[in-house]
Amino acid sequence: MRESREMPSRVDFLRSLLYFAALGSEEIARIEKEILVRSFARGEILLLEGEPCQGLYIVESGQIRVFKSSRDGKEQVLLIANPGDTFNDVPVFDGGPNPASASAMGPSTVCIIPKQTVLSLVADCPAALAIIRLFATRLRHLTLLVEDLSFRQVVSRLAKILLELAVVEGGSTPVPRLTQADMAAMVGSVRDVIGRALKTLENAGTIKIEGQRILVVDTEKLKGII
Amino acid sequence: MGTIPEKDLAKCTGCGDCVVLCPTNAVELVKGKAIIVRPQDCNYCTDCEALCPSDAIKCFFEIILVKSHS
Ligand code: SF4
Ligand code: SF4
Repeated sequence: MRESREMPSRVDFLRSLLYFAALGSEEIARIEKEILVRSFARGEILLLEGEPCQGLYIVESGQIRVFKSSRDGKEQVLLIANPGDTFNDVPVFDGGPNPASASAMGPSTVCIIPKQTVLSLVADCPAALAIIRLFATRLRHLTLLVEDLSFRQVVSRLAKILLELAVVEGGSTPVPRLTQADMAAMVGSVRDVIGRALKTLENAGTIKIEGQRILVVDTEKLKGII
Repeated sequence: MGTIPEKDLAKCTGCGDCVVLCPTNAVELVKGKAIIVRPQDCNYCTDCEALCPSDAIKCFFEIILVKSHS
C-alpha cells in the first residue's frame, strides 16, 4: 500500500461527485487537503467488516469489491465499486463499525475522507446531523433486509433451474454440466452468491452435493422453495 | 472421470495463486503450469475456480435427478 497526498485535479474529481455537489470551492479545497489517497494492489484489503470506521471511501481508479464474510468463511459480494462510487458511507454517519469489508480487484486508488471531515460539513447544523444519523441507522437495517430478500430470490430462481434441468443418470438425455458462474448468469446473480444458495438448498434437504454432482433428491420440497 | 476441476493449461499463466490458496494442498506448479498433483486430496471446494485471475479453471457440476422411491 502506498500513501500520498493531494493532486490539483482531485478538486475537480471531488466536485464531480454527488456527495459534494452542493459545496463551495473553499470547502472542497479544505476536504481535498484532508483526504488520504491510497493505492492498493490486486487482492489487497482496504478495510475490514466490524472494525471502527476510518472514513468515507471514494474510488478514484480501479475496482473495489465490497463483501461480507459468512460464518463458513465464504465471501458474499455486496457491491463492485467503480471510479466515482463511494462506499462505507453508513458508519460515517451512524457511528457504527464498518458494515462490510473491501478489497481491490485490480490496481486501484481510493480517496479516504476522514469521518470527522465528513461530519464537519454538517457540524454547524446539529439537527441535520441527528436526522442523517437516524437515516444512516435505518439504511443499515434496510440494507440487511434487502440483502436477505435478494438472496432468497436467488435461492428460489436457482431451485427452479435445478428442477428444470435435472435429468436421471443413464437416460437418453445427457446430464447437464454447469459451473457456478453458468448458474449465476442464468439467475442473474454472481458466483459467490450461487455457492451460498446451493448450500442453503442443501441444508433445506432438497439437494445433495457430492463432489461435482448436484443430486436433486426432493423435487416436492424444491418446488416449495420456488 | 475423477472429481477434480478442469484446467485450461493454455490460459494458465503460472501465477501460483491456486497453489498457495488450495485448502487441501492438491495443486502444484509443474513446468510453470498449475496441475492437480494430488487429485485424491481435492475436495472440489471450487476455491481455485473462484480465485484464478486467468479464468483457467472450471468446476462443472452435473445436475442429476434422483428418483424418489415413494
Ligand atoms: S490461479 Fe490460474 S493462472 Fe494462476 S497458476 Fe492457478 S490455474 Fe494458473
Ligand atoms: S477445488 Fe478446492 S481442493 Fe480442489 S484443487 Fe481447487 S482449491 Fe484445491
